[in-house]
Amino acid sequence: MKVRNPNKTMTAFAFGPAQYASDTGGYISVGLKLTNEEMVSKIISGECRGLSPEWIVRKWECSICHENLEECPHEVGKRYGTLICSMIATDIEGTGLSLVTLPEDPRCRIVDMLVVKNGKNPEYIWYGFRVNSELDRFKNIQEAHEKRLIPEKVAFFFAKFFAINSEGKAVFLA
Amino acid sequence: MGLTKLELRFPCEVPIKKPKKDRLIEDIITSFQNVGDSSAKVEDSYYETKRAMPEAVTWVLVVLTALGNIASIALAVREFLKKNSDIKELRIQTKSIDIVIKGNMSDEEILKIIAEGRKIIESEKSK
Repeated sequence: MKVRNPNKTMTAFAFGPAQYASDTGGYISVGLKLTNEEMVSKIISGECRGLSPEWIVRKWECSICHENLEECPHEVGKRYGTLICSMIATDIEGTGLSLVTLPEDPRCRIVDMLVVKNGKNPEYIWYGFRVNSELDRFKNIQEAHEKRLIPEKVAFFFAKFFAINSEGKAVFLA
Repeated sequence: MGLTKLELRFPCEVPIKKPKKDRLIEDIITSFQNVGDSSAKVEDSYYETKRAMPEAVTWVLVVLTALGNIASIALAVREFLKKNSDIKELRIQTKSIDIVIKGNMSDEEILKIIAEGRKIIESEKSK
């Protein structure tokens, strides 16, 4: 029987889409490192999972002519033939990300969280919350592995667990 | 004499077309000149979006001014807003100040803001 070490240090990594494109449905996914246990508890309980990013945009592209929106003749929201003009941010710089209770876009929220309890026998816990697309979770597990947050066997264990369970908590004791 | 770096925030739903942007920049520089700062210049310009969906943006104009107190800055901004009545308000931010100036603000209201902000901005310039 493995005895849990109460002195283990905890680090959490949260994953989720932070910004959806208004036209294509594409999104920017983010990974957050968390060390505040209170915040981790709020994410687990569902009290605070929303993501609200802050961006600086230096150039907007027109969805009709794909030129600089500030210089082209098209106007955002107007119909041109069968197409409606929309703005596409092309030169973006992330300046901040806030964890919020109610995000403006409900799709922008933490969908996965990995908690690593370091010690002699590390403990890996994966919290899988509701996802927007089934593949998102496997992408996040793969990302966690590629960033060396979890070893390959742990990634495989989590992937196997979430192939059966759409949501839930998977624990791997090394 | 030091320069004050101001961030002027224009709320807008969509990016501003270049001719209008150029006119607004010209107007703001003229407004600063009219209150005694002939060296005011635009250092940077970009958009900020703080929401998860890109439906509301803020155009940020970074202006360097030699004006030494918030009074002159507030008056310059109010003059600009009077000339551009389609812009209801403008947020001015520096390292330590964050105020909103409206075009229809009376002198008394402006003075109230000045009283609160003058000391802060002057101490910022002396650093």
